[in-house]
Amino acid sequence: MPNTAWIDLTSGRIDITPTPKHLIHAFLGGRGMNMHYLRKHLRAAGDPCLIDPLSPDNPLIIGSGLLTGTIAPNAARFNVSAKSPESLGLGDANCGGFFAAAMRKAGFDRLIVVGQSERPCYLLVDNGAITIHTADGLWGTTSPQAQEMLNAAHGAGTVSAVIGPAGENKVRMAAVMTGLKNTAGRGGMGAVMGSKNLKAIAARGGNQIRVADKDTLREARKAQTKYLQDSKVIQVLGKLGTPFLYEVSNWLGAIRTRNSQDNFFEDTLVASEIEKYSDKMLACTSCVVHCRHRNTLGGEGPEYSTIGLLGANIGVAPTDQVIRLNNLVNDLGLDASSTGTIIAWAMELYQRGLIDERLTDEPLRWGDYERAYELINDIAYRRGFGNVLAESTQAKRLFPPEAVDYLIAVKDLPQSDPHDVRYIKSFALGIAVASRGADHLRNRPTLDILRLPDDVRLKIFGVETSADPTSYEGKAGMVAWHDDIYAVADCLGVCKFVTHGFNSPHLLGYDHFAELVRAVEGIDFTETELREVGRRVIDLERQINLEFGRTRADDTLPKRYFDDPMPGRATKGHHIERDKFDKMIDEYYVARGWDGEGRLPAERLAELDAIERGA
Amino acid sequence: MKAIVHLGEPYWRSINARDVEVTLPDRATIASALFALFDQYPSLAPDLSDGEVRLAIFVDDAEAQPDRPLHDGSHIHLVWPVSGG
Repeated sequence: MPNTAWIDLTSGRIDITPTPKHLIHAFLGGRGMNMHYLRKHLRAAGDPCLIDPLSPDNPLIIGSGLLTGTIAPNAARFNVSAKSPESLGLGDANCGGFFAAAMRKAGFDRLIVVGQSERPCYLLVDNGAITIHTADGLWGTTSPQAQEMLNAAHGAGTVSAVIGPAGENKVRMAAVMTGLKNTAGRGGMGAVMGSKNLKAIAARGGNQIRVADKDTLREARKAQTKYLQDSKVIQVLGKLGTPFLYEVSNWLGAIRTRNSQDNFFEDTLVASEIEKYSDKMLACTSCVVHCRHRNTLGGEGPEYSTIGLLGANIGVAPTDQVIRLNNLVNDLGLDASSTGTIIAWAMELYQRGLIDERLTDEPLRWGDYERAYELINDIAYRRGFGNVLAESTQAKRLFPPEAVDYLIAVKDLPQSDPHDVRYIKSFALGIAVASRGADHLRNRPTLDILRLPDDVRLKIFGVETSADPTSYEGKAGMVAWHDDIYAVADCLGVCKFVTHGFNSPHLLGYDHFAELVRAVEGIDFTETELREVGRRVIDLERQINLEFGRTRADDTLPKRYFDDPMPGRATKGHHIERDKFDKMIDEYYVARGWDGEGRLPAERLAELDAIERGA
Repeated sequence: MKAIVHLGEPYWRSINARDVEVTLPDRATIASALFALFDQYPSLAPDLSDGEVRLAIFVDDAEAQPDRPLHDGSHIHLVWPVSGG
């Protein structure tokens, strides 16, 4: 029976209960169930708006997907959720690797950590029990060092989720790390962990995960694996990894460059250059893709996002330098997307004379690798100007008022991926309405650029859409469709790379997911019912944001995306027109069943409240 | 007339060449350029005609359809339209 554990680090009390069945029916697991507990805890602790994300009142919720740790294809993932110290809104980060499978095999699908330990500590999750240990010797170590020490202490089968120095120092873009590169990166979940003096969670999983129908699951795994491995997208991801995305974006003129002042960069960061530093492709638990590079400079990666944001976005072109910056943020436990976006923001402010050496200590110039390397260290250890940038988007309070005009963020979350969204309007709408802020992994309609025939798009999305990626027409329904299926994937613990709609219409859809849920959990969901889970999660996240004081005005884009046309290549001249964007927001709210201000219908709110009461 | 076909990721890998020059009759279209390319490199045909991956074609920096006429010295970029990651 899967268990949920409540761990109060102030009192040391640990309560363990079976995960309620009605919550599995409502949210499956993973992200959806985390959101349920996040809203419940924040409301119980007082006004969610007023809760300091770095206070003991903020819960840190680590929840595995419903399929995670089983042999279901690519079911490795878990979510870490809390009020975000970076955005001061909904915080949620999704991560792969091996930790969540170990946590489940140790008997737990969800840990809810509240309070604050007096001294640095770590949790050992082992064979149905959880114990709190002192972490004095671990504190101060990098992410790989901490994991090595925990392995030495508890055995080679131990898998840990840890924070690096950035999390310890409550850097607002600090991540939770597992392995060398797997990162729960978004929203500063590592800072929340650090605020609790919690260095690590070590899991030793020797138990079998209960599966309702093992034979059916084995058959489903076999058939779905073949289906996925026949996909060209999966084949290429397995050979080249995500770096192969760089060339396309760069050639089009859609790569965020020098804080989106430019839209194309050097060819030194294409996949064929990255692979010169790669000696192996790696995978997560039960993965059939193997998309992660092991690099020869002592780390894993880089992914496309890191290449773009710690390369083009800060003007660093040499391949080896970008890989070294990638390895550095991973070792220190920083979110690469936020780090690259915030450094680029600061570089533009310096370029424009809005800040100078009185604040920055030293010059901040595009492409200055040594300065970037030093600055990333200073951010993690909160030294000098690094202490200012450690505030991430909240550093706007320390800069001149016009600095926000150059910040590439939505809802105070720096944009996650390196794609300039001014060209493809559905991408722009997606990051504007994504619940955690500017993030493509909530709803990116990647099929929009395939120019699929009308009948194919209608069959997939169920609504009329335009085949033209630069059109504003019909994009709302397309984004809503992706919202839902990506939410379901996150609830199941399945990787986006094998989820229907992510760069291919030939990946795992609701029918495949229903088959897996039936085999693993013994619950029959129709495809429509599974999508309804996705809709419920999106509505719940919307309600959490409303309770944080967010409004329609927060569903917007960086000023530059409206005002500055893209400067070059095939995308030249494109920008977001405000009136057409507002119309897309109207249409999106209609597609979601929300009112004109983005509020939920009363019936849905009543349903969420009833679920919360256990009714 | 001649045109240059630029092969994006991952298409170039099967022939180990990024750029291919094709010789075409006057008033040739993109479609004719692709046929000429397949004549030279038959192994490219399955990849570029795959039903799952819809090739994006750009001529001289503007997106184009296969019936677009070319001129001498046209640059044709064949791109796999992917994003995210």
